[in-house]
Amino acid sequence: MNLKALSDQELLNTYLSGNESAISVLIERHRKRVSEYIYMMVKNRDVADDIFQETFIKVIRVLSEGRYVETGKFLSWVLRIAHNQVIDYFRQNKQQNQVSESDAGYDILNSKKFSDATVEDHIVSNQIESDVRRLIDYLPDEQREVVMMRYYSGLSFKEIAEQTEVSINTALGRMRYALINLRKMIQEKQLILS
Amino acid sequence: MEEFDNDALAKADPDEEDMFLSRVIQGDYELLYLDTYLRELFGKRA
Repeated sequence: MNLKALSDQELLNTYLSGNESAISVLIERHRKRVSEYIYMMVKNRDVADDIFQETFIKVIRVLSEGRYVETGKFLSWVLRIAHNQVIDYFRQNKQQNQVSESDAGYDILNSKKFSDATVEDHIVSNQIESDVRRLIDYLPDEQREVVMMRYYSGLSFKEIAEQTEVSINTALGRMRYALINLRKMIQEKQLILS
Repeated sequence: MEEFDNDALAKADPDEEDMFLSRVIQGDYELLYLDTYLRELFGKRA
């Protein structure tokens, strides 16, 4: 079986069916983004590496215990676990010159422990998804266009630049402002993305 | 709507991912989470 060709969910199912290699493929697939996320919070590569390991130990434990609820957002779930691991690290170390707990993303990230999800949480989550989809309509046209091309159509920035007849730098800039504006609207509406 | 490849994120050109991280995310982990969330949100069947 070519594991690398499988989707995240297929890999999860394969792992839960007893194929241990499937989890390694998942970890490698998302290593860069999870590592960068942790590093952006702790600003220390060695600490980030340790937290990365702890994050996936926790991921495997939750999966093995059958506590993972499939919502189609595996990587977002892993990032929330990583986020909680970083918060735990800050609590344990209380180090100076690093992002404080109060600054550590409680605005748009769910500060509740991932394992506490209930049926009610998933109903709320569906409502939030609906709200976020609507917020995209409030973006300026040029930003909304890039968002739709990236998330709906899955285009690369090179393709987006070609289709909108702008430079790649301009497309990237529009994406950045779109995300910043979306975050602002999400914060104003006090939505928690989970 | 056709289902978007939910794992395109990981299969994407590594140069493009680096460019995205340096030019769009610029060290802001909340934006990275938001991008990941949106990728997965719209990767689901409507």
